Amino acid sequence: MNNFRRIFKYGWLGFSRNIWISTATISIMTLALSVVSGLLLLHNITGTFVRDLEQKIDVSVYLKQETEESKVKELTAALKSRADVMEVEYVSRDQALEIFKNRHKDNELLITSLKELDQNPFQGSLNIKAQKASQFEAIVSFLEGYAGKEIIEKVNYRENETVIKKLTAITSSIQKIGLFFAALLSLVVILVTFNTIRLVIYNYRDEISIMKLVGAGDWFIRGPFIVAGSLYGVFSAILAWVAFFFIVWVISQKTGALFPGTDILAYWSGNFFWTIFLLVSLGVGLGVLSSFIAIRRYLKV
Amino acid sequence: MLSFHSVSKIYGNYVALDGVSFRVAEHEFVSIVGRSGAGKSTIVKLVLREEEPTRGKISFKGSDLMSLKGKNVASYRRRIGTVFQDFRLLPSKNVYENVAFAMEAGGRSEEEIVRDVPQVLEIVDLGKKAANFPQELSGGEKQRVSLARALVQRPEVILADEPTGNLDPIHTWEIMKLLLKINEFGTAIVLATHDKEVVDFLKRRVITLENGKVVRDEEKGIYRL
Ligand SMILES: Nc1ncnc2c1ncn2[C@@H]1O[C@H](COP(=O)(O)OP(=O)(O)OP(=O)(O)O)[C@@H](O)[C@H]1O
Ligand SMILES: [Mg+2]
Repeated sequence: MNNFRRIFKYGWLGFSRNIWISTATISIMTLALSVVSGLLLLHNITGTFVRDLEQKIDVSVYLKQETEESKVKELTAALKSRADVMEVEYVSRDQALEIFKNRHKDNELLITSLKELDQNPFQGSLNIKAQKASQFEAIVSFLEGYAGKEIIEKVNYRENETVIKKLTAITSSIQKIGLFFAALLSLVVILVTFNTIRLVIYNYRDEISIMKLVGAGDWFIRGPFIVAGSLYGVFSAILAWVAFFFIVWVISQKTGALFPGTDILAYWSGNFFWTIFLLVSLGVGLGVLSSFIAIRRYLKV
Repeated sequence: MLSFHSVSKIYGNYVALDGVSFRVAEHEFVSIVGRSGAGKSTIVKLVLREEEPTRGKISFKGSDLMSLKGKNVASYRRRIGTVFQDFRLLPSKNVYENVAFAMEAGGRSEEEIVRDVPQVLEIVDLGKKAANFPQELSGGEKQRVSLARALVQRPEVILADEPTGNLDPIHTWEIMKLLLKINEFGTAIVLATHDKEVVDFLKRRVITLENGKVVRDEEKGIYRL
């Protein structure tokens, strides 16, 4: 389409000729998109962090010494059939002994005293991994109500749960605050962009009236302003992305050890396409919306 | 093709046009004359729908101008080529771009534009000024750009509001010959002017305005106020 290309051309011209008027718009939009980028990263960091912790959560079931293997198999099967159970690992008494021996093979005293016992002192155990931290209370209560629970000596679980709960609570409130700021900034972005476009329309009012008189249609005149609005979005998105690349690069140099297993730099550059896509669509959305409002109000045709 | 039915235009309480009626046939060449302030440019503005008539009706090829909406106004304007008394050039575009803009707005192809624009600039003797901006042009040159922009759209009617007002005699005659030639090829022309020599030379229809009223409408008229 000839017209489409021309509308784009004039949009670009309007954008580049008014670049100084547009600077404020681009800066504020870049700021808003940076907050969004920050939220994305936070979401990713805490996500992997929590997932990591959750992996480590397990419930250990210690079995009585004289438990028959068949009873253990029944319990294992019952646990495995539950949706909230991710993995059940059985460590038999012999295996527990081996693990102990291995771990302390340098400790002569322990090994010799172990040999003096005429019986394996270890208990068999089941290590259960839950799908999610929140689920293992249910698993524990299942064990307490289990029909063959006389084989169970003791149920133990690690205390990661409280940490995870705290962490998720903190990140979710950070995210809520972040979202609130992003929304607030978006509003400011819309106001600023709207005002910029309004100013440009005002500066070009005589030209616009001439264009109309020589037969330019509504969209031939309005289109370029929409294009300019979306160009603000594109440029701000690119700026925000690059700025965040550097911020993340600096941070990751210093905190690689702080969040083990979360390489945020790799995340940011590895997800180039969808992070840039998200930022560009947000920026373009805001830009187009604002210029649309400005046009509706100030470009009566 | 163009007709005014008892059209009045009142600005505030100033009557610029008062019950004006006339008709322009296809292929016709009509001059509208009158003193400064008689209402000539007002007629041009009304035809272009830049202004609305206070009373009366204007129609183009049978349809009432005021009934045109949105997109149709733009395409209607493209059927009319206007040479504005005050030129109305786009200050941020050079001569070539000003002329090309009218074609772009009409959705013409790029090939047509690169073919027609230099040609029409040559016709109005501005081939060398294609890259200049309006503020770098003399009054007469701007007037010729305005004419070039009107011509390039190949309109059905040309409204020329004082197209020779800023021109020297040589350019004046060239432009008049050009308008006559375009008229010969079938384009109707409405010429608003107070150039007596031009009107008397043309020996075409003359509508004389006085204080917003049509006081004479003569075939093969001459300029007399
Ligand atoms: N927007 C307006 N508001 C008030 N009065 C106006 C307006 N436009 C035109 N007029 C008045 O209407 C009258 C007719 O103006 P018009 O421009 O049609 O004159 P004209 O015949 O073209 O004159 P000229 O030969 O000087 O170009 C003038 O007295 C002018 O002052
Ligand atoms: Mg006039």
